[in-house]
Amino acid sequence: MDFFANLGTGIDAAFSLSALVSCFFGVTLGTFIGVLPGVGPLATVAILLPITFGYEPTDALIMLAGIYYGAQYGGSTASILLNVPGTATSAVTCLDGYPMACQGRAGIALFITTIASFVGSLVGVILVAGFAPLLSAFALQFSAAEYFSLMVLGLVAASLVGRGAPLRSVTMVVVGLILGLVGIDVNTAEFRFTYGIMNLADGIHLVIVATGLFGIAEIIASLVSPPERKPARDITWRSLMPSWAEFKACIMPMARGTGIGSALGALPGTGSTIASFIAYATEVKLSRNPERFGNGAIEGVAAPESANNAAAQTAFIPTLTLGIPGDAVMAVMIGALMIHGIIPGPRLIIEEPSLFWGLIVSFFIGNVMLVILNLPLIGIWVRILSIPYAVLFPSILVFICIGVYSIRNSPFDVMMVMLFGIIGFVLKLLRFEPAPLLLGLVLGPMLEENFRRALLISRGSMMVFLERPISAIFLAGTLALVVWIIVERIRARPVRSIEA
Amino acid sequence: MQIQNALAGALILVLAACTIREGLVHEIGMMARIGPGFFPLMLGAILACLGVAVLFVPETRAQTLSDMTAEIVKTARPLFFVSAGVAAFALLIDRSGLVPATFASVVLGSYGNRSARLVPVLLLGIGLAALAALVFRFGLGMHMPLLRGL
Repeated sequence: MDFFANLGTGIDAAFSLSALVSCFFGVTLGTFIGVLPGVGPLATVAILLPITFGYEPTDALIMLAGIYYGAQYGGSTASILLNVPGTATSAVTCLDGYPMACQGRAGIALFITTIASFVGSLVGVILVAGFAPLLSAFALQFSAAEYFSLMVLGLVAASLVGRGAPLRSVTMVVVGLILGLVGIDVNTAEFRFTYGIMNLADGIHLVIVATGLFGIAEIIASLVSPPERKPARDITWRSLMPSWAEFKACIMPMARGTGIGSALGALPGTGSTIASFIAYATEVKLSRNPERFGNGAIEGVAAPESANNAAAQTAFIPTLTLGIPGDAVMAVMIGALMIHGIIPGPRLIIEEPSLFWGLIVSFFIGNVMLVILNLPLIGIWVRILSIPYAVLFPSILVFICIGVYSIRNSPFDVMMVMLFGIIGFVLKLLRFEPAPLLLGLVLGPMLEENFRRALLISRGSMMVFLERPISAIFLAGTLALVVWIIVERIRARPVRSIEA
Repeated sequence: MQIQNALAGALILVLAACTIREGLVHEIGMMARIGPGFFPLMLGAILACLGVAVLFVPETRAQTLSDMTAEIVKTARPLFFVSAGVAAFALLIDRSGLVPATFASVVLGSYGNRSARLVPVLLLGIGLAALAALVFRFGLGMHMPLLRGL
């Protein structure tokens, strides 16, 4: 099959009415939750996951993906207008976006953000379309040993490179792996960690853990310290347009930001938040007069916004082709695929061409929708920010309860969500970051499965992980990463704080 | 040793102990054909090492016991009411149906907010219960009884 035939398959899949509706719903909701501070894409994707059970897998994934990248667009709106980042990825946008808004250039900042996001996403999508099939062809040669090593690398990278304390993050990954073992062992049908509770036989559902640790815990956290809200000025259509000089100043930062974002997004563990920070830092370093940054430099908005959107797209490359999620949202996406009986991995592109190419084409459609949606709706988003939290949070709470209940009509699951909400609070109190736990939970069963299989094939020799070159490279990379982090920490003696 | 690290390390060690126990309960098997006990045992051992490291490596900003109690006290109210809201839903959904369950969870959950007042909370409960019924039962066609017995 050549590229255009594939694209044709994708166009067929993505332009069906249900796919278009899913895409529209996803990106709109994504923008919405991106704008609202305190409701992240992770919680939203997890909460909505049960609703998509009845959908076609392609439509379900298109919608969930739309939420993810839509949130990247919306997040910057709150950053610029209110100096409150709607999502972590757009925290950097505050630095220059809010000063621009204070100078009465909010419209220009929002316009450039939308354009920068669009450019970043578009390049990211092209890279996914181009590289994912190549990578998956390479990954088809992987055996169980390579998979095991790659998962170890992915898990360690994701926990060490992400924000937060490295030791605690790795600990959370291992706890996640253990939670992933709960239930019937697939090989021997023995019950593990069930303690006589039959409801645990199928394992702990990803949605339960994700909504508990993130949804419920986020509600509690924002009730303790409510997200700040400042009234925004009115935005007129005319104030939106940047001047030609301003636009020209953004072209190179957008290109650099896109490059940085695309590269980092494709690596496991980095993701869009780090990409946006690095893109910003790069612009400050390259600038002839860096003192402009922080005082409303338009490049300081364009570069990170291109970067986080590009990263949000390229993050799908490892997720879809290797089945290795780069961050917690991607872990939930993998969970979504598996619920629909689709195993993400190198065979996905071959076995589910309409899903893969449909998703790619939907990225294009979704991004175009986002641009059309975002420019005129900026004024409305601003008004939405005035929904009082007292109304918003009980609605989210109910949504979580109903969503989890609907997985298998089990009140036990709803109780588990409460339990994980409390666990989330305890983890926060002890300064554990819960996101790596989710990665561990998703990869736990796969890790064990591949470990077993590799040893079965090698007749019990642990050397198999080192003898196979690709596997050895992954493990060496893991080791190098661990050593690097330890050295860096010993050098930087002052204790890194993880106030989040 | 910081209070946070002591508690965190202890918690992790307890979890590691449970995991190792679970590993020992099941067959460990041979290297060529590992049993269901092997992986829990291995992860438990790794977790135990990490737990010891968490005990002694100062990774977080130091906090006194009173800082920590202050944080717990501050969170107690939302934690209690939000959890109660979820629990109420879990207890009511099968016994009395979607509408009472939603109403109860909204009302209880709302009191997690310090400035909650009775009348707006009740109105919100009625509104969201109606909305939930419309969206989930009629809109998405999910099979859950609105009100038990109807």
